[in-house]
Amino acid sequence: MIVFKGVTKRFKRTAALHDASFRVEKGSMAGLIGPNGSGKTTSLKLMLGLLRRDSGEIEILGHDPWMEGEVVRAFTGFLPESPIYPRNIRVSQLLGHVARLKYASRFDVSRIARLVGIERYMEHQVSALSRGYLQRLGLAIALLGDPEILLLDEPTANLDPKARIEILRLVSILKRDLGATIIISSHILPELQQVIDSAILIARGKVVDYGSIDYLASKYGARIVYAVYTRNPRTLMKRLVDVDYVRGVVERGEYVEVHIDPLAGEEFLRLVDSLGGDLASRVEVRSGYLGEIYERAIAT
Amino acid sequence: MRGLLQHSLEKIAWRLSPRAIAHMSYIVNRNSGIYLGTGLGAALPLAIFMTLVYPPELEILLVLVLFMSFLVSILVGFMASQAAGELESGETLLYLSTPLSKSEYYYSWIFSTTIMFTAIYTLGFAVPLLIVAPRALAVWEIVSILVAVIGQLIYHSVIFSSAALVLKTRTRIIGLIIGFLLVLPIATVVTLAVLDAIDVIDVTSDTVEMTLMAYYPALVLFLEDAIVTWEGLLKEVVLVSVVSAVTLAVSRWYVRNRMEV
Repeated sequence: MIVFKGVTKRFKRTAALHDASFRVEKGSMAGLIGPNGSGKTTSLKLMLGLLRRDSGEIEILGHDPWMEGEVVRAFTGFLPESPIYPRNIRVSQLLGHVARLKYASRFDVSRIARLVGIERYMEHQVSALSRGYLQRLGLAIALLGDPEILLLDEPTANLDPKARIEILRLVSILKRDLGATIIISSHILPELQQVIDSAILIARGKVVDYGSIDYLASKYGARIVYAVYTRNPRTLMKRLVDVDYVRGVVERGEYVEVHIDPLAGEEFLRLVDSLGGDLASRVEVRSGYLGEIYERAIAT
Repeated sequence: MRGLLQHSLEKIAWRLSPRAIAHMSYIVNRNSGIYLGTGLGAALPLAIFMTLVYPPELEILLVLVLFMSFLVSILVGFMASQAAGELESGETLLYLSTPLSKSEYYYSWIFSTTIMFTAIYTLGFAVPLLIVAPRALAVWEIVSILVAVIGQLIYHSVIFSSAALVLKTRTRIIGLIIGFLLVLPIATVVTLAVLDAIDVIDVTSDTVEMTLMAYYPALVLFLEDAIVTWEGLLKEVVLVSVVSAVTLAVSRWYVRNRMEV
């Protein structure tokens, strides 16, 4: 479990984090949500014991990260926003060194490299990797030692759409297969909402609210809005109106706007798929619930 | 005394954990070219000179020692700037996001600079002599120069490497090195000369030597008598030990309790 109680961190006179309190339950995948400069990276570095808090308490699985940094980092993997790698070094050399620091074996290096899909690039120079593969390398470094907690700082930043989808898919697989507690910081909410089950909402260094997506969605009345393109809107509306997680349907000419509960996204997409091309030719997300939750939370 | 020594060694061994040793070997591996090329390049001229002109002419030896001690200190400073560059670029985050502690990281840089430069310098100096003129290694003047310059090397390594981890940027550490090796010694002599000229203090040659010893301990010892005496070496050992111990203690406290990444 990760607990922040009234944590403040200042850089000279600026409070990067002010009286921040939240908790993340073991085994959950939490989003640390806020715009750039809101205190997300500071929070993650405080969790790792790389920054010293000015006041408040932080507990990572019962340990104080500033006082017991090496203990916390022994069970925590970290992917920085823009990892800086050494020059003139091969992928295998770098992973080998990090493995030694984490007391991981050569077998672990091969296993993790396979898991994140960089096994073909092990003998390449790090500087020769594309951004997407550099991010995979960062993920491999974070995963070495099989951490119980994984902290990912903007894992999809600066990536092209294809690489972003792949990285997020990888994170979901890691969550499923490793059962780790994962915190992902991001300001790209539509992507994030596909993978997280709880959120910490942060704005200008203050934690506005936190909790499970269910709790936050019901508290702030958020919905996902889909546009389902159809040749037969009336039939489609009749078909959808009785579905229990659908909260509203509105005809908009060539498509029908469907408002649904935030956690029913996947189920809804399966339903649309089963309707066939005549009734639902195409579906698009019009607005994500995370953005809505965030907007409403900071407005209150 | 023996108990204290044992306790100190145990503490050092404890601090040099397998992780610190792994990171130290990583640093050495990544900078092996610098160590070998520059270390040997700095030591060899003196070794060659002593091999060719034996017994050595002390005046020429003085010039060589002067040049070499300065050159080796520049190289130590270059390594320190590598450490500062690592902190500045953010590469440090890569290592410190693992269980490697900040103290282990600090010690791995300090020891990889100090031990490696000392070892390579000593080997570069001693091995050619051992091959060509092994008797030279039994001559006090030569051995004492080697010991004195190694003392200076350790002195500069500890100061520059510690400063690198505190100052954190390449520009600052280069500024410090230029200031320490070039600007401050000259400024000190000029200040003392001015103070002497306006009768504020009575500056003797001893005062100048003692002051300059803070920058170039070995060189000053050599300038004193053209040969390094036992008393001179003892003076240097005390200076190097005290300054290194204080620097290590203060910077370790800073790294452990204040350093943020």
